Amino acid sequence: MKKILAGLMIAVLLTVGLVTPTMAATSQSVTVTATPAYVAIANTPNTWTLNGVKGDGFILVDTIYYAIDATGTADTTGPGATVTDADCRFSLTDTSSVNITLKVTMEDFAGGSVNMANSESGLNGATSYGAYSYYSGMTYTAKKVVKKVANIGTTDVMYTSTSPGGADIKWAVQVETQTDAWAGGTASTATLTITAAKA
Amino acid sequence: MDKRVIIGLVIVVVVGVLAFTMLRGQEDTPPAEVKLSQSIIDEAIAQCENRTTWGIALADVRINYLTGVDVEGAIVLHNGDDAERLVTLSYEATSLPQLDGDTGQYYQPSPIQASGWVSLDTSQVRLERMDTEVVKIHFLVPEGAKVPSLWEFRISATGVQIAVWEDQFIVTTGTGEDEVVTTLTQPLLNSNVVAVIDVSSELSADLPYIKDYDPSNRGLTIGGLDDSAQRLVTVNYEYPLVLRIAYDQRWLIKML
Repeated sequence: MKKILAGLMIAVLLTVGLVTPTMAATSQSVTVTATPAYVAIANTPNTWTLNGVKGDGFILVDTIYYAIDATGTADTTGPGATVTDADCRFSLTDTSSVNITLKVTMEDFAGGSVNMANSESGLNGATSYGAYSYYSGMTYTAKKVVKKVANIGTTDVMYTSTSPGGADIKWAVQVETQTDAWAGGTASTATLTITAAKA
Repeated sequence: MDKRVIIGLVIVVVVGVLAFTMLRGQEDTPPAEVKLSQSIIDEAIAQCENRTTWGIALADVRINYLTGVDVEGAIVLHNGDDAERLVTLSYEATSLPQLDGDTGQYYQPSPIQASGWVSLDTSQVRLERMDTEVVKIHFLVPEGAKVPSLWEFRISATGVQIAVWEDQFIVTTGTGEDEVVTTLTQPLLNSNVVAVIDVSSELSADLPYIKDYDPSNRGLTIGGLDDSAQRLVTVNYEYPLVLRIAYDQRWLIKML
């Protein structure tokens, strides 16, 4: 009888050994959870007219216009080696409870006769403009190409915060207008989007 | 070895194999649906209290996943801003491996077919000031689909700040004409004529109404005008501010 009991125990242990890993992988392992963190930024101002900060709002072809601060030098004067607050029109306040990344995208101009398309390469061309984004404190040559929102997946991150709420920055974009003449004189508009995500 | 020991062993092994098979059967039958717990959603909503910015309150969704299971997640939207916002939600594929800051692991780009595996309860939400809205999102990978062990997609929430603009036009109708085309100063919100709050004319013989809108040139066609007359027409309408703030909610998938 002792031998039978010993055999049973060995067999039961073997069986449990076989079954346990299987139980760990049963349907109960399918889980969905989420991080209840707040991701939020505020930005001001929410408009920009090319050549409209210090200039008259009229633009020329094949010219770079910078979104400068009101304290900046001129709409056609870009940052030096290091971007400063005066180089940046937009002020961003980060109220997130986690670290975030920031990307900038910009659509084609539409609705008028200056309907430039975003080249998504940073370079201008016939009927297309090139754009870059940057923020105060960064090395200007490290500026990021601004693509359209449909290609945000391959758009480089402009800024990554290193502490929650740590992305209070001044930032800007530059637009180099198309190389060929305008079709007319009616103003066009393009949507500029800044996208935040949990880092 | 004693015969009785051998018989005992055989019986127990047979029983064990049967138990193993039964449990395997359970593994092969995953639940039809898994939902994000309401307590997590409630916790996210609670985070929105006293927030004075437009934001999202669920930064990411993490799934340990078997194909064939319908997962219900959510995105929590909050508008603490002074202005109304029109929020557009959409699926967004990633095209490069993305680092997960919490685990240090890289999540592979979204499979091409993944856009068909995600559905949103609604794709547009209008948020009044201090509104908080929960939009449910369903995710189902068909059985047999080939996907990386770790991969990611995103839900984009783009908030357009809504502002109101007034345009005035002096327009003239010719003989037998009852409509004119005007060019709005700002683009109409959502390119939809429902964004026109009101249209009025100084001529009592006019009964103006909005007939059409062409977003390519901001052309607004106003009908219901008396013919052979000149008048001042006023149009109040909603338009989107050009700078938009968007959020990407990460969906991090770990295949089991």
